[in-house]
Amino acid sequence: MSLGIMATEPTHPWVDDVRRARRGDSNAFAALVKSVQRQVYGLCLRLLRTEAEAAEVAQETFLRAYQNLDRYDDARPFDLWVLTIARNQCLDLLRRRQKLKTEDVDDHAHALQSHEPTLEEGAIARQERKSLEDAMATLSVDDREVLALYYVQKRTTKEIAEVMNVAPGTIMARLFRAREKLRTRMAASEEKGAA
Amino acid sequence: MNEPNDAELEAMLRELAPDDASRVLLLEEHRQLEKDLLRLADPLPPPDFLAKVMTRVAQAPARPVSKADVWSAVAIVAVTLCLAVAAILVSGGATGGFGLALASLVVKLREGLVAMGSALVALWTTAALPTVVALSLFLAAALTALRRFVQPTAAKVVS
Repeated sequence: MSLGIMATEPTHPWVDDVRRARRGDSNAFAALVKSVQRQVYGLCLRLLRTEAEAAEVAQETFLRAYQNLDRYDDARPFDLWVLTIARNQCLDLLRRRQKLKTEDVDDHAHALQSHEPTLEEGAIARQERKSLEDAMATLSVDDREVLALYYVQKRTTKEIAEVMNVAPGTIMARLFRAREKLRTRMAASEEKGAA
Repeated sequence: MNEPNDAELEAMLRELAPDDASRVLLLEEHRQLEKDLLRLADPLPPPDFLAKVMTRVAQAPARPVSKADVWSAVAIVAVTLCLAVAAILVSGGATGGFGLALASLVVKLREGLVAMGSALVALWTTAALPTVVALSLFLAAALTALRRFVQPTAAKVVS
């Protein structure tokens, strides 16, 4: 009997919680939210650049995830599935409000810095990181997204391709292009600061 | 460092840094940039984030019917229809024969109900109290079992 149960034991950490959440166990769904809330909120904040919007969209993301749990494929990583929903929600909002070219950088930079853990503060000088965040905030949504997923969330190119719904082979080129734009912006702001 | 590894990247590099010296410099700058980027972290969500999500989840309308549920319903209806057709065929293949069989079943059912009513009256007149106690116990056990079925415990699911 127990051997049969062990044979069907889920290999992924989220599978049990997903099954329980599907049966209406709210504690299980809360556990799922806890496990990915930081990544989801972080991605939303980097794409939308305001705390209020990021929190709202992240909440909506989890609500959609809950309502569509039956459609979720257990074999796929749960965090990637939720990140894909979050990304689509953010892009929908950006499209609706047509904010792509008229965004304010300052609010976002402040929001990102105010929540960084103290350990991170010690790892990189505040001023350096601020200029990095500022420069990153001036990039396009696609560039911010690929940089955030690869460097901040430490995702693999395959995972990023899955979230962005693009071919995995294009991710390294996208990363290089985004890095190059970032480097150029940072160099320009340094020159401006020096002058 | 993500070394350029395909034609597109190579073309970009050639355009940005035509000679070896500038290429080395460019790649070094990218390496430094990567080091800084890797030190960034996702911000924490607001403290009440989880509570707000769970409130919205609790207020959300019931989940739409899943595909699995729809297919189960379709399977049940299909099996029932097949059994009905089989019953018609077994009774002679004619609808007239099936009508006779149905009428006979109704008559037998009526006789059975009358007999059951008589049995219940006899039981009530001879042993009313034990009957009430037994029925109450049965009802309580059924309700308990139903409650456990509707709300499975975590232990059950995890095991």
